[in-house]
Amino acid sequence: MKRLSKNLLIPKIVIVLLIGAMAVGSSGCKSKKKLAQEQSAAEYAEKVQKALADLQAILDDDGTMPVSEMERRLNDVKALNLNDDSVNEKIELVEMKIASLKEAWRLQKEAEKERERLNAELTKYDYINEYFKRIARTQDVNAANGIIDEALKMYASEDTPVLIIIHKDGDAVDYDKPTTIKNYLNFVKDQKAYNNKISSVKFDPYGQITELELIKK
Amino acid sequence: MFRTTIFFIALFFVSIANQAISQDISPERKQAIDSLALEKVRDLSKYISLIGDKKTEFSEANRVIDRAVELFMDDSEVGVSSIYKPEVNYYPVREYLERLMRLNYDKVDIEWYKIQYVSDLEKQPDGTYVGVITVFQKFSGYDKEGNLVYQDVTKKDITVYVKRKETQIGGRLIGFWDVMLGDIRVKETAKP
Amino acid sequence: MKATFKKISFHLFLILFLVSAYPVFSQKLSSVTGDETNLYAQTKQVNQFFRRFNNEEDRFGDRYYPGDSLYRDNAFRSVYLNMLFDMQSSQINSDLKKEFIAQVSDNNNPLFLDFHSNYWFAELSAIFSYHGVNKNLLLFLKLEQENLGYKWVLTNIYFSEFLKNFFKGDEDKVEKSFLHPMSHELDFMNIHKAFDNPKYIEYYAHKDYHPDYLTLLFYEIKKGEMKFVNSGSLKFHFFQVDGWYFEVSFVNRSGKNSGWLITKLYKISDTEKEELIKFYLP
Repeated sequence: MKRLSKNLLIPKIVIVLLIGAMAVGSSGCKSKKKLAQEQSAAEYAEKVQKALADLQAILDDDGTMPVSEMERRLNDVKALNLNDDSVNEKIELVEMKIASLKEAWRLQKEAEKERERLNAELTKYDYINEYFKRIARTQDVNAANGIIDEALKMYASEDTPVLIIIHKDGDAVDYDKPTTIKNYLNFVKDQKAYNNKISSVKFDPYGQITELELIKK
Repeated sequence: MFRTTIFFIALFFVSIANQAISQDISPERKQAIDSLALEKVRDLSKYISLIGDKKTEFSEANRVIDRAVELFMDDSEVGVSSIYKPEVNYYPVREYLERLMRLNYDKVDIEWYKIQYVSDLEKQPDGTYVGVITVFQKFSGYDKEGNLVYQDVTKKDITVYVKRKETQIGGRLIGFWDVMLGDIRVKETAKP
Repeated sequence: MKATFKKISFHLFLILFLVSAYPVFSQKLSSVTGDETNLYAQTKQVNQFFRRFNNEEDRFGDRYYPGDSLYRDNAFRSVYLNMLFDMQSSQINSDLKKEFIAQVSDNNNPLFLDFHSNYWFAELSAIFSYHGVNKNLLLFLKLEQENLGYKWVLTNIYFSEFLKNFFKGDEDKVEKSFLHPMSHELDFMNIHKAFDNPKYIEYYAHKDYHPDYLTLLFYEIKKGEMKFVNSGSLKFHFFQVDGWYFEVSFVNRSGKNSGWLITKLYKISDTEKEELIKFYLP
């Protein structure tokens, strides 16, 4: 803000000097027309200085001014139609700044969305994971078998393939030997451990799982 | 609501001998393959504990035996010797596990030592990699009164075969590492 | 010889390294049982014997790789190689042992064992039933390269029942066991002499003749006269260190000095080495 007032201050002095010089230069016999011309020139100069100051303020802003405010001020300057080279130059700079700010904002929003999407993805399959976890911690075999029967209802068939990724490096994916959901559920029961997470799930039109891809934690 | 099987899986195992653990493979990838091999041994040890456990129901134990046998190559054998009888007695894997299930103790404790030793994976002439994972097990058998009537510590050297294979699943070609267990040498050791 | 050895061993090691298994100690078996210090100390596999001999793993079994500061470190080897010897063996002279360790861990010319090299043999004792009676014999094997990898192959056997049938004739009879140089003029009508007394047949063969015991074993088995019964103890004979022979066998006892250890160590000349190798690989 300090910088802003300083910037405003300097042009004022310049304006005073300019006006003074013009006044000195034009002393003598003055017609009304000339006087009017001088006045409009002074007004124009003042407008240019004000526009430059406003634009500079936008350029100097370190994030306190909202982009919408920047756009409003820019449009105000543009509306003056000053047609001054230095003003036009600054307008261009300001437009670039606004564009880059908007792009950054857009990217930020996108990243947020992606984070949300990933979070949703992570929790989306919680209900599938939950069965594996429950089976793993159930000590009683009959109880575990009950959960297995329940879990199997989510799958298109007992033979629904289960793929387990053991290593992934870009496109190169290494799998463990493919198994079926029934075998895998029993495996989790026997080993009393579930050390994978869900990588992807395919469903049929009835919403039943037709392929489950897990990845080693 | 009727249940439809949309996907019929046909596992066409195509073995690709030459394409095993190639030389430009990253250390992380190799480690993943080794971990997978080690995991199969851990799976087996869990199955052995379950089969040996007197609390495991007969039908359940039989099912676990089936699962354990699936970990092995066909015709794999277990060669057993004790300190006092150094000659090796051979059992097909299934028979070995069934004997374990039928052991005449009232309670059996099977414990595994944390130590495990993984050999290099060496290529055999057909290109399959073969390694040996060594684990140690403590077996304790108790009678009705809860007295310890038999105990041994055995070193188990377990053969592990690793082969790169491919299969079609849902129209996709899946490259996977087939890890199969092979012969096991069970040697009674002096108590550590 | 040593230089090529080293070179070959280095290249082979590189390959070995590239396909090797990492010990993964972060993932343990489920239950826990007592103090395991001795099990860590034990040389549990022959593979581990190689790695320890070469200082390619630390004392917990975690591997070193080319580039690691302690990989094949000779200062370490000069200290820890001692642990690879059976401390209770009466067949190891301690001065010889010191000399051996100093030689293989000499920084200027270190010697590392090489799994794929020819210069080591396995000796497996076995029981075969021979004409219905159980007999002990020794089988010798070596690693051989084939197609994409390696395999163990039989090289020779030692079976006293076979051996006692060859070159065991009485001196005076041996001296007379030949076909005179003009026998051909008589259409070898005297040839029956070679076959009359089975004990002396082999003396009628050329001077480079050596009975092939492995073939005899195969033949007897094919004829059904011999049957494999069981295999027993295993040991390894190493000739990879110039000027030395050592034997490695499994010492099954409690304590830290156990597992696959050097149980015999001898200094040998080149001729002795050649003869010994000829025994394992005729």
